[in-house]
Amino acid sequence: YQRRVHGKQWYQRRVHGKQWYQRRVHGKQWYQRRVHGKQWYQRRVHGESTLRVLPLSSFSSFFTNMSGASYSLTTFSPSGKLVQIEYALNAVSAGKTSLGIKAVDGVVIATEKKPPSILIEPDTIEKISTLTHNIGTTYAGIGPDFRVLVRRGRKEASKYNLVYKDPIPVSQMVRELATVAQEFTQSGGVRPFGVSLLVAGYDEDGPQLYQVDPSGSYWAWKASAIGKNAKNAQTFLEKRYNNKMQLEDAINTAILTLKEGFEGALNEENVEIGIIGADRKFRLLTPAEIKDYIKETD
Amino acid sequence: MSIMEYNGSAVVAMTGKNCVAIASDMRYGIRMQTLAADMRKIFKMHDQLFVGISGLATDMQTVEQKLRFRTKLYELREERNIKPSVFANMVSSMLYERRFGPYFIEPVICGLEDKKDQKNVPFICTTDLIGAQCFTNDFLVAGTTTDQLYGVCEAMYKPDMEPEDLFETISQCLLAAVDRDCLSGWGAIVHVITPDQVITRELKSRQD
Repeated sequence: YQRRVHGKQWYQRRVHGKQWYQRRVHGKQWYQRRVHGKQWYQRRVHGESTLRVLPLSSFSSFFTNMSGASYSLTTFSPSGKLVQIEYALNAVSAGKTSLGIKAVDGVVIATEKKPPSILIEPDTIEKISTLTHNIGTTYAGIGPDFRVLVRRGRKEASKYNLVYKDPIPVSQMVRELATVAQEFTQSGGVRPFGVSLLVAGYDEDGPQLYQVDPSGSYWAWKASAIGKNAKNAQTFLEKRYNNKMQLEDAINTAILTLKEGFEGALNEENVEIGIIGADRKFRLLTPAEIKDYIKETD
Repeated sequence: MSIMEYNGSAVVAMTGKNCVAIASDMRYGIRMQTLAADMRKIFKMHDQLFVGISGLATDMQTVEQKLRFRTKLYELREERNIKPSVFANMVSSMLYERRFGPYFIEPVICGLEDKKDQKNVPFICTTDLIGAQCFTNDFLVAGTTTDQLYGVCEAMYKPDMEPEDLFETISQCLLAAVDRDCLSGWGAIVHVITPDQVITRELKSRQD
């Protein structure tokens, strides 16, 4: 007899007087059976039967434990695209707008911070994070994924410092983050990150701004925007950007650009701005400072 | 018999005015037998960074290869030369990784690096076999001849010597010291590193 269970084909068979459903998984024969209300999967291993209790829902995550090999969930489509990465980019485009501008003497990154309710404490939301003293980052997309990447980034920076007793260069930090993002497009049982990062830093090579995508590609930008309003913001920045911009001008331009696509009134409670200047210390602007800058742009 | 005395070596590094010098003997021996008088114990990592390694010869070779590997990768990734102080820390980490089965070597790192406000600042550093670093401004010694080398260097060293003067001093120190140690000698080589060039000279010494 045969039956479809959770989309997978099972064949029915009587073994030792008990009803069993069997299926071939990766060339190995598995038998499925309900015992005492729990779903059991039995398999012959080296001639002996081994019983494993697994919740039915995790049957598809079999792929990670028995044979030792892990199969990636991100696979090529016939047209040569990695569809999971395209979808990840969709998640990024659905996220709140973030942008970054590189000036002659520093870099500024800014992001919208609209809490879903007025009851949320706004100063506990951290959309811009420090990776090292002189490198900061923000994102567009899924917040928790950002947290994971920040954690990894901080660890890699510390590991580098442990070996070389030298702060990690911005380009190397970005490379590490991008490598992590790429690993998650090729490893078993994981999905790509649903965030694009904007990394701002100042090191021996001067001020730098990079973008890291879920695919693991990264570029250096003079100015860039990611997220919901990215296209319009990018066009706006293209018009407004010039190579001789100072950090102060860059902050004003950043606020103006955010204002363009902002729903409602822009004030110091619903944006987060981080800057790094010639002092090479990344810091967030206080709400009071942001208020002053907003006033300047009016 | 200590494993560090199986092969025998003498390495010394000294700082001068915007220059550093590193010198070593050239003996390759096993216990009391000398097999060659042309063994290199100082290796160039790049134009402004040299490392001299004393101790067990096999570990000297292996560590040199590993350091070269790590340095090359660093240069490829970061697109710049590794600074001597950063290199010294890398050596220290690498040796400590083998804390409980160490490489039986004592490296001496020397080079010139740019600090925040000064260019071509001399840098010398030595570590023990498990990576404990020692930084000084004047001179550092390693190998089986350390006792002798400490004596002569302390007596003959002056700060802020010009390259030629530095060469003379370090050569005389090394030659005098290895004469009192049977496990080192059989030739000597000196590298003097200045901001524009590296001068390497082989010394004619007693072949015993």
